[in-house]
Amino acid sequence: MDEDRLLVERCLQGDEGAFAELFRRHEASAVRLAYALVGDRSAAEDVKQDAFLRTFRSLDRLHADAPFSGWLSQNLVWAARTLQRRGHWRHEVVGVGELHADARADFERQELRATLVGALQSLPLPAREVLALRYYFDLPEAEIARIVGCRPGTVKSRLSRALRALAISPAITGLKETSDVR
Amino acid sequence: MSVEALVAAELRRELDAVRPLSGAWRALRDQLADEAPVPLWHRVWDHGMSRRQFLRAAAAIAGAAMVPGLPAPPPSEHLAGSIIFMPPPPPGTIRAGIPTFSPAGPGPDTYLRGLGFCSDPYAVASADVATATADQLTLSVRRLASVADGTWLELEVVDAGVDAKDLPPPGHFDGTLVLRDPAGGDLAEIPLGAQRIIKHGWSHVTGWMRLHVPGVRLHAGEVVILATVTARATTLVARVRLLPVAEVGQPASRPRRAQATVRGITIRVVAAALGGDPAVLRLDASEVGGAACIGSRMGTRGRGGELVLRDAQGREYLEEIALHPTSHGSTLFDDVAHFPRLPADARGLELIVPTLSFHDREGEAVVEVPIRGLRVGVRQPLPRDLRLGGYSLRITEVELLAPPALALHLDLGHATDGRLLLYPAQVVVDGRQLGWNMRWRPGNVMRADVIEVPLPPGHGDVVGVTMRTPAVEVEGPWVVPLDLPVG
Repeated sequence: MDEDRLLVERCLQGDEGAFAELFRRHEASAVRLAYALVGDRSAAEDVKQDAFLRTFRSLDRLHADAPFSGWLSQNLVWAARTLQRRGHWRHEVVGVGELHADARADFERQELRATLVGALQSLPLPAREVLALRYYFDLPEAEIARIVGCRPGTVKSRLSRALRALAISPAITGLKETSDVR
Repeated sequence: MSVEALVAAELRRELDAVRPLSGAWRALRDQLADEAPVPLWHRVWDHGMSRRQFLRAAAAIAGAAMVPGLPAPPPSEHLAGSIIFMPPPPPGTIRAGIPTFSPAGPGPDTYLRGLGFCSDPYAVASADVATATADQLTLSVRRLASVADGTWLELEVVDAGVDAKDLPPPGHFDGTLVLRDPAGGDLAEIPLGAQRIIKHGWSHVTGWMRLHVPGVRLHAGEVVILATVTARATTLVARVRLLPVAEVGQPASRPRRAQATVRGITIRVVAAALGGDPAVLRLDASEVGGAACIGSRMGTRGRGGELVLRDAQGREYLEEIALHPTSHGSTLFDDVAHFPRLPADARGLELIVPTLSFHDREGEAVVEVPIRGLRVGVRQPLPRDLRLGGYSLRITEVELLAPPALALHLDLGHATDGRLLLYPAQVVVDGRQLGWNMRWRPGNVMRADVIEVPLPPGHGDVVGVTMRTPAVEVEGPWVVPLDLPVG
């Protein structure tokens, strides 16, 4: 039995310390996924808190063989969707600006790095969900499908469409040029 | 460098720099505690047990009561869950393990916590928990309500004098219960017996019981409860103060036009008590052909967390799991939904019901399984395409189990027109109901991947397995408007 499962079992026995430990173990990755989804630090904190709240309230429905991290990711996705329905978050990174071809490479990369989440925000939320889960958390398509609530084939098509959309965004074209030059 | 590689690398660089704010755990912990949405902290601890203890005890009791003699299922590593099923209830009825509260009358609606909605203006109920202690036994009368069709009691008896590693026998709390008026006249005497027994530590066990005393109507004032536990030869005497339900329960109302129809099925909110903790809704659904469960796949797990209340500001309130399912006597399992206390400014509420499940009365599928040649623990292909009512399923493999039992591996296919076959709710072997067991894969709770049936003694080389009563999940969502103020 992995450590998360042991902690979940302790939570289900009412051990408050186990809740704190689960929170500590997963808080950082949760806020990162939330940030990738909503593109705003403050909103990401709200999404993370909401997702943990949902997760802890429904721990008894977490199946014995299902990973806690997957359950939490599912609730992060749902919390982000709820926030989006409320139209509540502002974008910390506003849009993807035009790049100056003559900018220094390092500065350019720094700018691009800072705007990748901004580029993600130009995509619809379902696309951001699969991109973040696939390319940051390295999850297989089947697991992503379970988390976002669709078929694996849908994940594949969303990823493909999202990558095509990103490929023509200034952020990625600039990065691609930079990496190709090196 | 591919776009995929670029995205992965840059996403990692950017997100790795993101750090959570400090103090988040304290805020979350306070939120969990103050808003009381967390059964783990509040609802179950109040009852002296964890949710897991409750669920295990409920499942054990349900399994023991439902299918006596079913062989123990073999260990199975690749399948996640298992549950034992009883034969389905007769059409139009719910076979509940505990009695349900079914009030009648034209009075103002009141919600009595743990019992249900009441519209009887002459009903009375207890306001406080009454206790009595003797000979290491403690009786707690947690709830008592008396309405037109009788008196309902919810009791706990704690025995602090046991010395056992395991649970005591089911009859440990058997005895008699007497209702007596303060003047000394006996009103009723009924058998006492625990529906759940929970063990705490090495020496404490609790018997939980909900009892119905038909035909006995109590009035405001006091009633004396005498509980005699036969095994301990002890009688406990508790005095319960009764008040009109309007003074005890939460005021409720009947929302108008609170209904939504999806795929021909209408879900309604027929009563609501939104001003208290918890906020409570009574639900109803149009006839779907058999016993139904709003918002969840059916089974002993019950419901909780599936239903959501959402207000006009977009705030969502997740359903709590009730310790005791409540049914008002319809064909619905657990027709009362509990939510955390709603803020006073919540307006424009909507109830979101993701799914509805029901036992379809129509349909029967029969498969002949050759037993000869099967070896224990070895799967044999047996492809069979079957129709169970309006639903297709495929048997892929069969397997012999020890003790003598048969496992059928199933492929229940995809949803058709928003309806998903979950499992057959009745399985018989050679025409005999011997009980059966169901297993499912992780992430697909309550949808059968394997069903296991005991082989009847003296079976032949070929046995006939008959599946009936398909359990079906209907996809929603139903979004039911609730035009009611919270206060």
